Amino acid sequence: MWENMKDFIIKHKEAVRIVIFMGGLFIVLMVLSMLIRPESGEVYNITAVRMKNEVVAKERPESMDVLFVGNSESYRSFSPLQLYRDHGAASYNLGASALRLCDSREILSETLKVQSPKLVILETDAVFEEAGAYRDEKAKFTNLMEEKFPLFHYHIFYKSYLPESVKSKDVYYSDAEVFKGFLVETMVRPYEGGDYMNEDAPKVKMPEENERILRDIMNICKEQNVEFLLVSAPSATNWNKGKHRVVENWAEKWDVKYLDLNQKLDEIGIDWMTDTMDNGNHVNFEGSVKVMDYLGGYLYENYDLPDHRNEIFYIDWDKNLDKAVLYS
Amino acid sequence: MIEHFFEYMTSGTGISYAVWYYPVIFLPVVLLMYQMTPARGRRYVLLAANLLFFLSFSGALVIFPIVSSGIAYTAGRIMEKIAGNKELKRKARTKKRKQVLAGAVILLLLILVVMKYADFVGLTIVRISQAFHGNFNWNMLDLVVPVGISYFTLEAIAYLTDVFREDIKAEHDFIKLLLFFTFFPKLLEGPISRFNEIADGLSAGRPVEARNLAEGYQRILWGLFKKLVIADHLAPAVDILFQNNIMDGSLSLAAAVLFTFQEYMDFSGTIDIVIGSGMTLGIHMHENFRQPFFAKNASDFWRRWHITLGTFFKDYIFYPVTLSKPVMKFTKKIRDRFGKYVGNLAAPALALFLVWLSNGLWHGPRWTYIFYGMYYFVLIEFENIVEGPFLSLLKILHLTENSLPVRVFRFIKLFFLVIIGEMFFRADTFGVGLEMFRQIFTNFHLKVLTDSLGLLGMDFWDYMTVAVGMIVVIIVSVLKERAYPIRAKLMAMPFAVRVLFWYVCVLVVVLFGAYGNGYDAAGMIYAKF
Repeated sequence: MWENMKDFIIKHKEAVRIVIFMGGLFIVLMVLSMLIRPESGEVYNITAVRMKNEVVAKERPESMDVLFVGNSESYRSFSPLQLYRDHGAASYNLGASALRLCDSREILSETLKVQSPKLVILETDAVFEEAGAYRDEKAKFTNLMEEKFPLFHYHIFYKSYLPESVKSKDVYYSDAEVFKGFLVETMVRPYEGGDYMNEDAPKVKMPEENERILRDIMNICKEQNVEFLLVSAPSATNWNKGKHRVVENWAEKWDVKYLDLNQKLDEIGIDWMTDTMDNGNHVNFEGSVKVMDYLGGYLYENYDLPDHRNEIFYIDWDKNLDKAVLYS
Repeated sequence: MIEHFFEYMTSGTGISYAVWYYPVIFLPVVLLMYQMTPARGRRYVLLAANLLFFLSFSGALVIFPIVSSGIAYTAGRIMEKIAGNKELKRKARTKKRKQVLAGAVILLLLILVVMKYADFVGLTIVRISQAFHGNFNWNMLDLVVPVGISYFTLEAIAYLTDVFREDIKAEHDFIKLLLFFTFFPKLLEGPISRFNEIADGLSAGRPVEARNLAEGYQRILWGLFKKLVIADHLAPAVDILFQNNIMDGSLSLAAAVLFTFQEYMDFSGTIDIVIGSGMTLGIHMHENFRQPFFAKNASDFWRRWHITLGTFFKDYIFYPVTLSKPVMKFTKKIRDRFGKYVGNLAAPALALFLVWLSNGLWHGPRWTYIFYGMYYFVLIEFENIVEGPFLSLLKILHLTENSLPVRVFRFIKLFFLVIIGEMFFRADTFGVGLEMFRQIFTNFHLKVLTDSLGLLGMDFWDYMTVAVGMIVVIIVSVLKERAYPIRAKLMAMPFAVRVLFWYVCVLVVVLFGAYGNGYDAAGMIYAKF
């Protein structure tokens, strides 16, 4: 039998080599796939997730009271440093540019392993953007391949490894320790489009996938006994009454608190001529100060949050306030 | 999985060569089916693959290559019949055959022009009419162009001309013709192939050989490297630079250089995939690139860049025009009147003008493309005129053509001329191209470019990937130019080393390719032509 096999191999030497080659390649791809796969197994922007996790991990464990979650609307609006200055709560903004809900879920789960906040605040803009792990949900054939071989899905995992000189210029790293994930932008580009929260808003739906991941995030908070609050940050071009209604209904259904800051613009004092950096899409620093003035008050009225000011363990927060000249 | 595949096939997106399911699913399945079918039936498997490939892009428009093949088949057979009609005199036979050829070529070109250029011609007439205060109107047709129409039309013209010249015999087997015109690897971007070079191989049903399979896939991998690792990484930067085109000369120059790299890596990379695909089936298509940036001048550049388009124009426009009776007469007249030197330049100039006008038009219905053609016409004409004096100057300076200073001078000159040509080619309008060109010389601040590096849609890793990728391509190009036997040296290595080498190559493409999450799909640049 061995002789027969040997003859066969010699006769089909090239073909046998191709089979060995392909088999080996398959194993290499599978092993690498297993190595780089993130724990939750469903992430879209692996680079942003890894970078954000890296900076958050630098924070002292069990030091956070509040975590902000979301995309750029979150990290342009919610300033942890101001919340500390005004009320004394320690918080971190886990938001990043164009972050999808599935990415936020991953970052939040990772952070909750070492932090036990009282409250998680999810900014709602991402609820109506692409939320899933795949670039194109309709490309089922490609997505299936990426699911079977996660290496293809997460092939740019190495992008979070950067030389320090590059890191210091990257928005995810620079000043993250000081501003705690909040991104300062002082530029003013006014919005002149008028009222965007009127009743004749377009009808919108929350896509199924988004709803599923939103529930996941809610459940993660529940499991960890963390309160969960939905907040819509002021955005004249991204928000409208239709989206408000959808989130409101969802929040009612699941008994989650919801605060839409777009309905409180007068109380907050948002002036779209001066408080936006990009014609109404995001608030600028001036806008964020007003947002945090209002939101801080709201949080301390509705939640039992501590005041760490003058506590020895939070002395670095006071130092950060000094470093961030804008808040002094 | 199969249902997802069929869902995809009917979506009209197409099976692009550089998307994973072409090398991983489509080609292997075709090869497997081909191999499992008895030799006589294999060509039908190939034909089915061709049509399926076409359908994935253009659906019902599959009728176009079939009709064009039909025209080529019928006209070829008629010419053959006339040639065999001994009742007619030789001259009369030639005349009749010429009429058939002309009729068929006009018909083929008419289909191409209507599908691809109708709106352009219509709008041009409207503009001319407006200039003369006329009121000609044109309702835009917005026709969907069948994929590969430029390629299979040129191939059909070449086939018929070769039959007319009796270089090849008219084909009696329609399937063989259709198989050739629609051969899926070359359908989208060429190389423009000749019937006598590959048709027999396509039809023969030869078995797939392990060696061909390995060599073919190695070539495909090289193509994927150039396309995914280099070209597609540059795509966002090129888009951004051309969108913000008139801010500073440094950005214009960067736009020109990066687009040239992108286009070369995209087009030549795709051609590597195409030629590699052919190799897996034992089909050897003509090379389309030969280290073009090592050319000594513009005309040499075009003998190394998109080679098959150049040879098509040379064989089917340049020589026929130069050697046609009216042009010969015209040449004689010029020679008699202005002397031999001018006379010898006149006929090629006329033919070259037509070649470069066709080259410009071939790229599509845009004035920037026509300018691109004319740009090379002027350059090459200029080179023809100054080449003699230039060589005399070298003699005076005691320099040879191969001396280092001359080679460096020629390289820099050619590189600059090529990137300027590409800049006009890619610019939205001729006016924008001109303004970008002006800014390079009048408003150039390197700091604007260095400050903009973070805004070009490329991150640290993207820049590093492109830089290292380009170095690899340059090294390989130098070795190829020096005829270093890269493949033979690789094959001489022990099996285990080779396996390791190819695993690393596959992983480089998988890890550093610009595809999937974080990257937008970058289409093949040349497919739209």
